Amino acid sequence: MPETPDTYKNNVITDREELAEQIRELVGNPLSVWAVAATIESLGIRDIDAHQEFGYSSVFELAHHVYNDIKQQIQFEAENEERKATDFEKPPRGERFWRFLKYYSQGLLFSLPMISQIIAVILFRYSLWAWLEFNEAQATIVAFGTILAFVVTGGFTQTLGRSVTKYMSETNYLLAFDATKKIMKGGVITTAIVAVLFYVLNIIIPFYPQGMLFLGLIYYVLISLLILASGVLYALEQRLTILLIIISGTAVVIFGMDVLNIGIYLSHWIGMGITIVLLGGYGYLYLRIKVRVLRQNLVKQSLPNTEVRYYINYRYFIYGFCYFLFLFLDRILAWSAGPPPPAFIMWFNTPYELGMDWALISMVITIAVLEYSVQAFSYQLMPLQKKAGFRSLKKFNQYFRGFYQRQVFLVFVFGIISIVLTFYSINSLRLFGDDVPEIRDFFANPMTTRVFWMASVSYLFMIIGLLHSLFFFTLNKPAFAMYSIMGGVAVNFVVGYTCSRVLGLEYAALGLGAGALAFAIISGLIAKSFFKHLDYYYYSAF
Amino acid sequence: MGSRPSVLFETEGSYPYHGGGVSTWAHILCSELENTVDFTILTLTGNPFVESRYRLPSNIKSIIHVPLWGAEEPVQYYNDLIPFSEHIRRKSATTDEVVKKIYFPMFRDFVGCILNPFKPAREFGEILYGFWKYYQHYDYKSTLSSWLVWTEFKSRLSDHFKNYAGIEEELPRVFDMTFGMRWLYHFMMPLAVPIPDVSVTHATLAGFPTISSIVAKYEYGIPILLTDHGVFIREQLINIGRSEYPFFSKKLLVDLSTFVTRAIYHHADLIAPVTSINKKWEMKFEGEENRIRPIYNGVDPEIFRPAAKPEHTAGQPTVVAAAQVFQLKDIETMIRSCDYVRREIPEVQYILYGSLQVDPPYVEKCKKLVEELGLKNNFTFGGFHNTPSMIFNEGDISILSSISEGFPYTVIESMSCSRPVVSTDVGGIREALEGCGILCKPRDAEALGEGVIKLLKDDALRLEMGQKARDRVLLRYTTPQSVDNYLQVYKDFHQQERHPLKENLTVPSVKKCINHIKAHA
Repeated sequence: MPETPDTYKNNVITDREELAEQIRELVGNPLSVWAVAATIESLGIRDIDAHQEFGYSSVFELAHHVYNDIKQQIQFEAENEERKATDFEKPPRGERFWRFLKYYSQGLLFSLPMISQIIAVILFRYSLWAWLEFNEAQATIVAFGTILAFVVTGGFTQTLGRSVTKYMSETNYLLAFDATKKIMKGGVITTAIVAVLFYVLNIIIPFYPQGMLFLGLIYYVLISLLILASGVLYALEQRLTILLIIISGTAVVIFGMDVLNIGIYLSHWIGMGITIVLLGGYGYLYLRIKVRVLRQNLVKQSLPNTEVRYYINYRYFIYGFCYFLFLFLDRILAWSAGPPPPAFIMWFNTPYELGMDWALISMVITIAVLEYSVQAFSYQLMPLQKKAGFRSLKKFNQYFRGFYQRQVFLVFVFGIISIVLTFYSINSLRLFGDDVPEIRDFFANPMTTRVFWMASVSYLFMIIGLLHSLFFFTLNKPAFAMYSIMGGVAVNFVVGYTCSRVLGLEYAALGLGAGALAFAIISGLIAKSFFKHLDYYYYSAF
Repeated sequence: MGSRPSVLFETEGSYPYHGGGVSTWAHILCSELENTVDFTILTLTGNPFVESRYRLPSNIKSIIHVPLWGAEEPVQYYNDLIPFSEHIRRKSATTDEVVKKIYFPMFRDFVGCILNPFKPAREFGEILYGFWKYYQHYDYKSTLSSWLVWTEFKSRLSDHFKNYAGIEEELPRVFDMTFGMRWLYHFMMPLAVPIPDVSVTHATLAGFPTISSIVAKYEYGIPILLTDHGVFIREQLINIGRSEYPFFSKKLLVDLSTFVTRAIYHHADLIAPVTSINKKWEMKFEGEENRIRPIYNGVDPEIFRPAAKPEHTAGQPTVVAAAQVFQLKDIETMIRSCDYVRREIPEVQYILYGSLQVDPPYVEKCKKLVEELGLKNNFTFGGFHNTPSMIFNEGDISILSSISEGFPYTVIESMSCSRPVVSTDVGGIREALEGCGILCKPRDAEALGEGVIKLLKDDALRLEMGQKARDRVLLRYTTPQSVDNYLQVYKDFHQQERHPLKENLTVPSVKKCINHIKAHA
């Protein structure tokens, strides 16, 4: 017989103390005698071993003693350990700072495609669908196309973002792909139907000359497709790619104008067409490759039934639609008001638009903060839940209420600084007014500055509303965001309509301000309760 | 009720969407009874996106699929016979007032049971039935996401731990509460599933799918057959106990499982473990001895039949094993036994067939041990083998080193091939193997090695035990015998007179709910 080294038997436990040690190593603080018994059995110790090796009648009896041994030991350790109150301290300042920088820059990246367009206009006089040389009629009809595109696609892009993000969080690219295709299809069909409706409506009630409207509808369709295609890439978090493609598309416009001399319309349409194809193609290939590489097409999967999908997404859709309506409502009201009476139902007003664009810069600077706020919220939620005992539930909610208030404060501070900075930096350009006619034109009408102040403050309130909405979305409570923005739209319309008709067209921006304030207040009141009972809202986010 | 028995067959994480021993057993059972019994499968899965792994026989009339996770509106999967608009109507009918008046009292009792899962089990059954009745009229998700339900849960926990002076670590944390309630939402989902009127409900484990069995017994008086392959509660205790969750989360999960297990053991008409060894646990959790009768698994002796060793192992003393490589199989001890045997029989070879994907770190550990002991020429990891019937004939004997088992197929399959088994004496293995194989203490590589040496060296003994093993399988453990046992139970239950338990409800909150539904439905 071979010599028997210890290694052949060293796994066999025969000592109660050693057994207790091993059980504790495996399960920590044991749940019950039953749990200890099951674990003992899982170590290969049977009733016969309990009897022969340990001197007990069964595994259950042995478990009873082992359980008591471990519990006594844990009790002893607990008595000798200093009890620590739950620590609700904020993460260290340095960590928060770096986190802020990281997510704030990501937030800025979100707005970069838009910023790139402003820069393109300043440098080259063209962007993907704008041109500094447009006359007011052209600007009117392109603005009409743009507003209509954003409002019509708003619901679809919001739903797209929500659906794709959900499936991506489960790394389910197949369903993300399916959802994208379905929503895109809905978006494209709706875009087409709206185009036809407007065309027919304009025949019945001629708001614009038919040719003019047709031109506007071409812009509308192309911009809609561009928004939808970029929506896919936003949902896929391919922000840099969007920027690069948008820049490429803009380069095509510039090339068309400056090199090929094919005229602004053709240049715009080709530029947008190429951008749409690149955005759409990239999104398509990205998802397709992911599905292939991860072999997700091997198992049959399908999206929920149509009616269930609609039920799950309708709040997001309404929110998206209302949000973009909210953003453009003041322009619609202003441009349809006088004096002088607009040539058609809506007529582009350059000073008003310049004021809004000016305010947009302050908005871009502030809105990037939201990326940080939402990330910081998600980042802290789970660890603090694990840390906080149920007796400190109130403190847990209070901590996050404090967190929320800090975020509002941060947005306010950033907002005010960005408004002041934007005002003075742009205003300082007046120095070059004599040399640069565009700058002189920019400041020629005091309406621009008035609109800037009204719009930039409005945007700040709107961002507060958006901050609340993002918290609601994080915990799957889209209804809160939906009702808030619906309230904002209603107030925006009523105040904006009244002011633009009574005080002057530029005071449509007061409607934007009142609407934004309503949005911030309604969502703020909900947020107050939301954070007061955060434990409940977290639980019920399934 | 038709002339042939119909069965509501309840599974979780197995047939028909996943593979494994229970699924194989289930498929054989359903297929063998294709001309005699109709089945409706109620299956719980982890996510909605699953496909059948089996070609389903024609007697499987429908599948009720309940995805516990991953579906925002899971009702569309398990209750797709009525349009979703009706579910929306139910959502709107689930008002705070209904929740407060009807659901609340039952929920309070339910939380009391979860916090004390060793209360009389009859009460558990009644509460489950009350819930089910409620969910046939009101929306599951809307009810459980109600603010009132959450507040009540918190308040019950608060009362429960009011004067608690024990170990701080054992007190619930916020995480335990939020996730605890979410687990209730997910795991108790079978409560919302409509139940067909069948001859018998057959649960394949004493876990969450059995909620339907319990409810069916109350609503229609349908008898319950429960097959215990392993012991669900024991497995939960082991797996949850070892998990990384905080103490209270683990306790809540285990107590929830205890609640369900005790309820089903209490209400089952027949508990049919695949080995009598399970009885020990079943009786501790409300199973009564007179309702426990093992029905053993069986193999097809025509498929698993003796054959000569193939060329690549002929002439070499060979020990085969069929086991997935993970801790409970204690492959390390098997490897050490190989080392032990090699000292006596240097040319011995062990071939281990089984998936290497279950626990990759453990696989690495085992491979390293093989290297350390210099066993590269003696121990081979054969990986997954798609023809199990070929495995055992490759060897002279087979080996099993598990530290925990129920009644493993591999033992009777090897026996059916006339290959005696050297096995650890765990679970129900002794019942099958005693007298026609060698039983050893678990984790004892020396004892396993001694057993292997004895059988490899003594040809006469090996052949004698092999023959005896085959004879025993033919006598007790064939598929037709096993299937016939189930068929007999189905037939008996089919003819049995029914006495729905709903006639004798005693829990006031449940009675109130039922009366409300009678009045308003």
